[in-house]
Amino acid sequence: MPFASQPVVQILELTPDNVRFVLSKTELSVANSLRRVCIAEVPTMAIDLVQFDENSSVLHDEFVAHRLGLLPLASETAGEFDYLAECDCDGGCNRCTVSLTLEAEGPCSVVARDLRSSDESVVPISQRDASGSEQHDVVLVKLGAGQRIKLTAIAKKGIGKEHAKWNPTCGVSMEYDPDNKLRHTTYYDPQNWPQSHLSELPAGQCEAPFDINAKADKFWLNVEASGVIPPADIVLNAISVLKQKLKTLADAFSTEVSQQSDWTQPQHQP
Amino acid sequence: MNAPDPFETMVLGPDERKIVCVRDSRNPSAAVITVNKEDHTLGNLLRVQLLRDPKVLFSGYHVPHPLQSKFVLRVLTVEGYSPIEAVSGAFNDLISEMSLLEERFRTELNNHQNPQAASHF
Amino acid sequence: MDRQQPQTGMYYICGSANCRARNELKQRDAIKCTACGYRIMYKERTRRMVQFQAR
Repeated sequence: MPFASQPVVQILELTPDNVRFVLSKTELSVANSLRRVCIAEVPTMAIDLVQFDENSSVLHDEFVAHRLGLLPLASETAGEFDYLAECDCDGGCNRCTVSLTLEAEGPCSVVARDLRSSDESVVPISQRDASGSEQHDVVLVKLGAGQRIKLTAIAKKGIGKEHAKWNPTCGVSMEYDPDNKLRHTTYYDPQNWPQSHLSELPAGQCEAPFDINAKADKFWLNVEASGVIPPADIVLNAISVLKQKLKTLADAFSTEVSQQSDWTQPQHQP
Repeated sequence: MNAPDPFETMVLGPDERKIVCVRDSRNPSAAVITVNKEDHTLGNLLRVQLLRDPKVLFSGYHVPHPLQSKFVLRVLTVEGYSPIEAVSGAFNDLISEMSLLEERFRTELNNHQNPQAASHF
Repeated sequence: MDRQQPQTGMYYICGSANCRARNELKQRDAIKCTACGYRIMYKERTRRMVQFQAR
């Protein structure tokens, strides 16, 4: 591996919903790809199809279906599921889908924990935390006296690239070059820009001089999880997704090249 | 209304290949590689990794249109060094970098969760 | 005026909050609840299975 970077990781803070770490001795492109994959390509579970049997609530069916789609479902086990499109089954089985049922009659507030899941590992995240009261649960719809709702929701595995409801993060931040010595940006008025808390400049100075030889190689990242996957797992999943994508592409590339035999040796012009 | 289906950013079309490599008719050490159903995540990663190879003279990529889920990577190498070799090398380098990153993140995570075990490092 | 009258009508729910009677209305019938005389009627919900994409 002649030109591979040897990245160094240092975790600064790890909480149940946040991981803050420094990634160094690598390229800006690697840090940015990691950030992009955390947001858009780490698979999670989310409701994608809703069948209504009854709905006399004030919210129409599409409205309720949309709210159900955005509901965070615990997705630690998403890796064990298949994508529906890649599953051998015909339109849904317990390896690619999870069904959640809901039946309620008013007067009441219908909350996420009223959903009954067919898989105990894929449930609305509010069902996980025993201390949480119903008051802090996600309200799906409020029913008046005599109003009823009855539905079956089908959750599928997906990624944030297809729809934001599959995004496992609430915000991924990446920072580098806190003193702007690379001039990747130009400040119209440096004095009036808020200084980074990572700044190493002496007091009074607001911007480092331009350094033509400098290279971005230290990145401060913060991954805030939405609660469906723990933050450190999001990063680990992102790394393995990225690695898998590269492997798939490398295989496709060698197949493509082997089909063109004249490609293996560089041709010299006649 | 006329937005492309979201799955079109991920699923290859019926006649589409994941990766198409075209040789430059005038220059044997130049190649144009089109990667379907991928975006800046891999495009920029690959471009920068290729530039780390001193025998690569040029490497650049673009996304032809934001509604088309593909990127086009152009590689130019020194004479006698095939751009194919350069790209395969870049893939291997990136895969090994990811393996190392994964391992180091795991180690760091263990150290962070059990500080006593890490103190003798 | 020899247009055929449909034999069966459609069912509508009375809009009055304390009536909600199920009325059968045929073509040219007055839009009026037979139970209470209320003139606002609602359609019944379909009995077909309805499915929506949650996005």
